[in-house]
Formats: sequence, structure tokens, C-alpha cells
Amino acid sequence: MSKYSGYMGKVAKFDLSTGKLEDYPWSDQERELYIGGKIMAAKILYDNLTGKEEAYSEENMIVISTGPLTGTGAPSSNRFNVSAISPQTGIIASSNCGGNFGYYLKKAGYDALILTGKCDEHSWLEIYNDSFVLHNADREDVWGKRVSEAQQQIRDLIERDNGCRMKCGIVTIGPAGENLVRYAGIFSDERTAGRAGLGSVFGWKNLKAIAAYGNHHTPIHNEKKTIAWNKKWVKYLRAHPLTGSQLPKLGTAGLVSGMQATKVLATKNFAQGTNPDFEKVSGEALAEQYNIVNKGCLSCPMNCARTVDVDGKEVKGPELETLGLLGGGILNTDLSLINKWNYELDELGMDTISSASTLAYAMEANEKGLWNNGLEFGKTEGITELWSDIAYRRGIGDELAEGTKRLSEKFGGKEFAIQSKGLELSAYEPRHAVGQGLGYAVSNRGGCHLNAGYLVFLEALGIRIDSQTPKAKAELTMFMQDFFESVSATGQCLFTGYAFFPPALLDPNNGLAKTVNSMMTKIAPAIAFINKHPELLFFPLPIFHHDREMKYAVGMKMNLGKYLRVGERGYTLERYIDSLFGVNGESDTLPARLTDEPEDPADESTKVPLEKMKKAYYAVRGWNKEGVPTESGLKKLGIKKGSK
Amino acid sequence: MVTIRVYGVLRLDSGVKMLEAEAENVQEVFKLVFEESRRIKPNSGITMKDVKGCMVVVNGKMVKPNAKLNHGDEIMLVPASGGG
Repeated sequence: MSKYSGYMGKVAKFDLSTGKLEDYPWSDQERELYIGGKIMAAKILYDNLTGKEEAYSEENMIVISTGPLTGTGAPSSNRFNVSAISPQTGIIASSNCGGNFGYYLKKAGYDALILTGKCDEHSWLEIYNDSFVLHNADREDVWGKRVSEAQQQIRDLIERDNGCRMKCGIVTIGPAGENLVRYAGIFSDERTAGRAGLGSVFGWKNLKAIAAYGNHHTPIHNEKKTIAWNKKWVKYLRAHPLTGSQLPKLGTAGLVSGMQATKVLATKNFAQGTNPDFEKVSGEALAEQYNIVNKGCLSCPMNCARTVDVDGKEVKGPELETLGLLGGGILNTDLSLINKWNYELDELGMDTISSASTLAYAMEANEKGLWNNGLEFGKTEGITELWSDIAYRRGIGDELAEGTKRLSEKFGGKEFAIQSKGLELSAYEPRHAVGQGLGYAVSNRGGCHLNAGYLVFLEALGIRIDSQTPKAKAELTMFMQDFFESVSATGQCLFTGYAFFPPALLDPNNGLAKTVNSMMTKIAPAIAFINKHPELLFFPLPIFHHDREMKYAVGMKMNLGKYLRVGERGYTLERYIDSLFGVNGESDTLPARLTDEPEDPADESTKVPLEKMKKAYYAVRGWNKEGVPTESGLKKLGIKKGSK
Repeated sequence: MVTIRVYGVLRLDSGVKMLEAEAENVQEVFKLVFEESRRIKPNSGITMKDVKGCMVVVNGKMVKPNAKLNHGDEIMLVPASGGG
């Protein structure tokens, strides 16, 4: 049990090999230090891994964790996290997901679920309160099914056994996870923990799906104040131009035109930052021609998801990354095909970012004569079938299932293999947002735009600081990474963080915005000071609502400074775990296309000055010159007491 | 004559997608878009501040709100956006 509300007070550790269930100890002190979600998962992995484990091994642990705000009704708070060693990167990966599984895991009475070992036969796991039952997924006709079919089959099986339809949360993998495609995802309803291939860790462990349900309720510290605060916060989010207008009306797809305007729209495998045909594959085109209705995750006022018609069926529409990478990324101008591919990739159980980026690499490798595979930029015939070939590892699909990094090691072309640490980059081309380039390179899970700190929001899309200077980018990257880390750990969506930036700063022609934005890259020491002493931010801020949500719903005293410190602890801990698996500064790389070739040949500043920014970043983080957290730093953050 | 294209929520809210008009500078572009918005969707609630709050891109280059324009210029008006 916990003295804090918001938590169910229990963590389950379940051995897939033996079926043994035990309570995993998790104290209130750990709740204060690590909150939940990805940071909690990192701590559990740190306590149990040595640095020698491989992704496809019984020793690899899967941690599915929620945050204390999940189930409290806080805005956009029903997310959950999956962490494990990734088959793409070989290091720690955290993959975050909307959907409803987190909510139902707490209904079953658990804050987190740790899975060890390996099922000896194809299985799915049913969790009802304290009952954990492994079912044979072959006999019950679950193994081999596409994602939505598998979810439906499990719902029907639970109904059959209970005699009535039960509300439950299900995570499942598709055929891609079963066949160990290195970028297979895990799906809850239509939402995806897509990045870093954790679906294939499920597949390797012979685990097709988990269903969770029960009759527990998430305790709330002060219900009256929580409800009042939620109302106030939702009102604020709805009044903000990003969380109240752009995301509900256009979703993340609405970013395409801004990315084109600021030259960060990855085109032709990141050869360019603009796409002459961007309008055909933009958020506006999606909204005007295809969108049926906006949808959202549980308890989310933003409703940023799209729904589109694919072959007469109403399905989830593409997000920005999918639009960008399956549009201009491969020189495709047919938006209806992207809608169809997006659905197909979800049903097969694959990450759309890595799928698209791997395809773009293969097209360029073919174009350059490195790999005769028949794939060409702009040629879309046969791609629908190709996704299936990848998921079932047929023909060249078997090669493509390995992802960009491994393909470039086999066929060459590392300079245009758009990945970092083995994870393909998202649709943001960083040569016109160099801080985003730094973030991609140092990101703990590899080339992820969010784990990077999402500086492209400050440099191009939202706020308009100098996008080409390396100045202050290390400091701002740390600030944003730590901020997002904590928001995620509470169970909330990172998008709630955009309302942290006052609307006036989003207006590039506003005098205040111009002053602040021009100052931002000149006050690196001040940002570094805040990063070092976040405890100075102990007072409530009208633009920061998260702290009082934690106070009213959980009973945990928080402020922006504590958020930043917890985030720093989480980020540093993940980095330290990565270092046990061999990561250091030499691992923090970008493909040469982004660091050596200017996006605009007439402007040398349009490439990522990575080495310079990396040094500054390690110094700001207090890591050593090799990019590894120091013993004293780990002790200061409370991660280490003695030696491990 | 210049070509003005409007993007993002400003396009959805104002109803203005594309305009071809005479404009000597960016301020005139703002005015043209605002007036067109009032004509197409008089009750949209769009203000001049909404229009002026956009990034302005002329022939692929970001410009300041006092920039001069030339015949044949292609102009993009894009509001701020965020996501992931």
C-alpha cells in the first residue's frame, strides 16, 4: 500500500516461464523519486539488469507501467509505458501509448506489471484482479491474427468465460511481432506503443496479448479539489491555440505545412527539408478530404486523433510522422494510399516511422546501385503487399524487417541510413533545427523526436528561436527532456506540456515573442543555472498546472522545480543503464547526410554541428567527457547509494 | 499580382485557402486575408491578430511582417503548431 493516492500500491512480477506471480516491492520513497511510467520502469530495469542481457532472451524484462494520474480524470492522463531492452537498439527503450490498457491495469489493482522469462507455448495473459492466467493462444485462435482481430477474439473469449461482455484493456501484437520484425509495436485499441520494436520482444517471449480488468478504483486524494482543478485546467487547454485549436482541429497532421514553411519536412529520405507536393499529403488535405470525426484517448480534451475511411471502414487516420515519411519521405503524393498503409501497418503490428524510413533507405540504396531491390522513390505499386511481406518475412520483406541500421551495415550507405543508435528518425529534418539534431543523437532510446526533447518546437514550429545556432541548444535540450520525462511519468500526454508556452510566444510577429525568442539563445548560462538548481522554481506558475494536479489527486507536493529534478533523474538513469550496455559519446551519432551535407548547398549553417553541441550537452548534464553519468552525479540524484 | 496560400487552423477557421490579389507588402496581405475571411465566414470570430500571428513565407523564405512584395510572389501564411 501507499500513503499516496493515485497509486494502486501494487506492482506485479509475473514469470512467463513458470507462471509464478509475486508482489514486487515498490516504496513510497521510490514513488517520490521516480513517480511512475517510464522513470519507474527505468528504476526497475536498473535494479534487475546487468548490461549483458539481449533483447531476445529470457533475461530481458518487460515493464508495463502507469502513472499516478492515470484513472484520476486528470486531462490526457490515461497513458501507459512499456520498457525493455530493444531489438532495434540493444539498449533500454521506453515506448508510450494512449489507448485504455493503463486504465484497466489499474482497475485490476496494479501500478505496473513486470514480465520475465518466456512462455513455453504461444500464449496470451488474462489478468483479473489477483488472478493471472496464461491461455494457449493457438488453441484459442489468437496467435496469427491481425491486431484488431486478436483484440476482438480476446474480448469474445472473456465474454464466453464470464457469461457477459466485460470492459477490459487489451494490448496485443500483430503478425509482425510474432515474426520478430525488429520494429513491431504493441497495440491498445487503435493506439500504439510503436517505437523501438518492443512488440517483437512480446513475440520472442511467445506472448501475443495481455487483457486486464477488475473492480478496483484509483484512489483520489482530494476529490472535490481534483474535479475543480481538472475543470480549470481543461478550460485552459481549450483556450490555448495549440491544445484547444490546432490539435483538436488538425491533429498532429497539422504540422506538415509548418514543417514545410520552416524547411524541417523530411523529404526523399531526408535529402531535402521541403516537399514541393506537401499540400497533397498535408493535415489540411486530410481534414478537408478524408477526416470523418476527431477522436481522443480516455479523459483527453484534445481529441487529436483522426478517423478516415479505408475500404468502407472507419479507421484511425495517420499522424504527422506517417504523413511525412510515407508522403514526401518516399515521394508519394497519394494521401488515400497513406491512409490505407497506415491502417495496414497498424493491423500487421508495425511502427509506421521505422517502416517508412526503412523503405526510404531501401529506395535510395536501390537508386545508388547498392541493393537491387526494385524499390523506387515515387513508385507506389506493390507497397501495400510489401508491408505484408515484411510482417511475414517473405522475400525482400525478410531483409526490410531488420530495419535501416542493419540494412546499411549489409548493403552500405550508412551516410543516408537515417537512424541513431539503431532507431529510425521521425519526420523532422534537423538541418534547419539543429537543436533537434542534437536531441536525436543523444536520445536515450535512439532517434526519437520526443525523447530528444522536441526542440524543433522551439526552433521552428511553435516558438521561433534561432534555428541554426548551436548556442543554448544543449541547455534547452536538457530542460525540455527533463520536463517531458516527468510529464510522461505521471501518466499524462506530453501534449499537455504545450500549454506551458503562453500564446503570445507563439506569435512570431509579437514584440514580446521576438524579444524573448532572440534572448533565448543568448542566455545559455541562465538556463544552465535553472537546470542545475531547479529547486528555485518552487512557486506555482499560472502556466504550469501539472503540479497542483499531483497535489490534489495524488497528495504529493510538487512544483516545476521538482518536476525537472525527477525528469533529470529519469533521463540520467536511462542513460546510465544505456552506458552499462556500452553506450557512450561515440554512440550519439547522426548519419553523415545530416552533419556533413548542408541542406541548402549555398548555406553552410544548414547542417547539424553535432560534435560541438554534444560536448556542451554532456557538460550541462554533468556527465563525463565520454557522455556517461558520473558516480557523484548519480549519488546526487539519489540513483546510487553504494556501488552496483 | 501575388498568390497567397493560407494553412493550418487559420485556413479551417477563416475559410480562406488561396487568394490571388494585388499586394505591395505583407501588411496588405494580412488585410486581404482578413477581409476575405469576413466575406466567406462573417461569424468565424477570426481577428486581425490571428492573421498577423502567422509565419510569413515568401517564395520559400521566411520574411518579416514589413517585407515588400513583387509581382508573382508566392506567399504562405502558417500559424504556429505543436504535436509529436
